[in-house]
Amino acid sequence: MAKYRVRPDFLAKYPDATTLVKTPEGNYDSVALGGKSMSVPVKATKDVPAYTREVRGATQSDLEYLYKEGNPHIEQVIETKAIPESK
Amino acid sequence: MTCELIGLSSVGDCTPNQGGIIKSFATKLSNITSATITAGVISNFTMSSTGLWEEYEYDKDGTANFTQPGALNNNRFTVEQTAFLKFGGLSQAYLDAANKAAACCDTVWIHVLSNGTRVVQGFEYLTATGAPTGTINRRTRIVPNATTGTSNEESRLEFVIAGNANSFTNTTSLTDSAILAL
Repeated sequence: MAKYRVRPDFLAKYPDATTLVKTPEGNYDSVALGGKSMSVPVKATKDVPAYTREVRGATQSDLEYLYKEGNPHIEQVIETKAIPESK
Repeated sequence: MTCELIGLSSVGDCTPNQGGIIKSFATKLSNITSATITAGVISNFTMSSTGLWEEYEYDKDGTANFTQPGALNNNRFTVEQTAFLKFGGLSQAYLDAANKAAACCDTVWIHVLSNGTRVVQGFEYLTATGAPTGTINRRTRIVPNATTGTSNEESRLEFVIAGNANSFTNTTSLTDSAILAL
């Protein structure tokens, strides 16, 4: 099965990188490419008081979505099975 | 960009094509690591971190606008991109915002037009997914103007956002909530 990952050089440079994925309902969901969820304080406006927003870590299916969307920071990893040595 | 002539039809003689911009979002160009293009429209951004887009809600008094007049100097074509935003009143918070905004070298703005179209000011037209390049001929910067006006006028902070590019802007399909979720 194909796996997807964030390009290591990109992740090393931008460990907190975020982007959007579309939910099945057609809404946008922000995801952290580092794979770990993040809490973001949001400043108050005249209409909305300050609050904390959660950004979830990107899953394999998120990375697959982004790869197929053409995101240049995601790459496909082909898993190869080790061939047992013949005796 | 390659030459191609694409026929256009006006929306309609009697359709009220309301002008103006009603809201904007801004970030530094360096915060954007890539923009995703789907069917010629920016459908996604990847940001260096989250919470880097700021929302600007300015006066709805018929003054806010965004213009892109093309210019030809001999055979050299350029586009001057200019937005005008006005915030009524003057305060320490406004002046702080003005001083900090003036220090930014390359900025990217999403302007929401009255007709719902969203244009992206601040980088050269992208035809394919990738990292955007700032406006080539002159960086997109913010020129704040703070004025008290006279007693017959209103005090205000104005932002003129100007840059010079080789191309007109992209548009984006991202909604307000999507931009703020980034």
